[in-house]
Amino acid sequence: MPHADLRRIFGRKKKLASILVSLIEASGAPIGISDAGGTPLIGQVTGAASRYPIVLGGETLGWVAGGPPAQAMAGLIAHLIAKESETKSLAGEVLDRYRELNLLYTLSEKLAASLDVKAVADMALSEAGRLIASGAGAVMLLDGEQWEHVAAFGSIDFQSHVDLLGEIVSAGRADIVAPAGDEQRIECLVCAPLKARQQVIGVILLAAEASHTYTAGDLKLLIALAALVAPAIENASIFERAVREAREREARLQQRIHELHIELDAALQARQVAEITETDYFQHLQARARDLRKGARRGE
Amino acid sequence: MRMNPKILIVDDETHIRLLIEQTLEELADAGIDILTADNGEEALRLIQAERPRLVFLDVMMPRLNGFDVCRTVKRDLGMSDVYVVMLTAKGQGYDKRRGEEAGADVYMTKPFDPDELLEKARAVLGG
Repeated sequence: MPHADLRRIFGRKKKLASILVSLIEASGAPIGISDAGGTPLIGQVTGAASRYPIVLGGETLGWVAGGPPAQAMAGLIAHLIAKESETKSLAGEVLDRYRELNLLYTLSEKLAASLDVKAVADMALSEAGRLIASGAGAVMLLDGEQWEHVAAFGSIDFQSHVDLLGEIVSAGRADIVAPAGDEQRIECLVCAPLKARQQVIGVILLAAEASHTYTAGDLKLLIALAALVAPAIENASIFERAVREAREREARLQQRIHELHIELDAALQARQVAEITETDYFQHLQARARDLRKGARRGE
Repeated sequence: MRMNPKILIVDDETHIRLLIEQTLEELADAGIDILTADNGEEALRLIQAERPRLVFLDVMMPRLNGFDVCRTVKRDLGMSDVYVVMLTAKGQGYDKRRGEEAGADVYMTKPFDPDELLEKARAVLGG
């Protein structure tokens, strides 16, 4: 694949094209610039003329034909295109870093607004999958000895890679691995432990598609992402636990209130009965009733 | 002769202009002309001379700020068909309101999402 297409460069860099036209005019010599296939792009030379290649990285991008200034012009164009190519390459690199910066910036905003473990894990995985090419991925949390699949995409069951997960936890560091003899044909994995308060609470993993392999840049990004996500997951799970405990406490309290109501009702009833039975009038009635019962027995 | 649609990028920071240019590379490959300006006055001159369909306009710039450029284009020059995306590091409501008052069509904060920016450009230029 050519480094650069001369026609496209002149199309995009109209200033460059117009400077070249001015240079040709100023030189007063017939000079023509053509692409690698010989199609004229700027100016034209009729008849036999020397032509000089515009070379970049050992590849001929085009030709400058004409008198002696043509050779210098070919060199100048090659130099300008090399500079343009360097700038583009740098800009591409900066754009990649900018994407990462933007990801971490927006993710931290989203994470700050969520106290749901699954939502946090889904967000992290979705953002990671956007920047790191992958066919599958998962966020798995360690619950005692068990692994819990909190978020996932793709068709790989990472739960069946307990050994690998165990290695990540015991090593406590991110890595790029190529599981040997893998049944699910994972060729390359990038993974990072989720650490909160010096403890590994889980892992985030991405598996490459087909023959793709991960780079140190991918690993670095995943480490940054894991560092951002782990405390958010920890906070969310503390919050979820607190909510769960508060609900359980509330349920227990409701039950106790219900039981106290019953006890209170019984006590109230006893007091109300006592209030009646302890009155003089009731005592008098009781005495009258006793007398009547005695009289009735005597009459028998 | 039919002119290629144009996009103007206005920012006083070279790296931001380069970043946006790089983000819009696929549109440039498809024949869209990408123009750049590093200050408000140059932006106004290019908008009048080249009539870009879309302008990515930084707010904080020397000489003429983005709000003034936008207000001049949309109100004074009546070029309402020029779609203006204001770009600024400030995300406060006050700036957003000022952008809206100046007639900006969309307001994006820095760091911008390159994918969102490209998507916006595609949508404005009709896919």
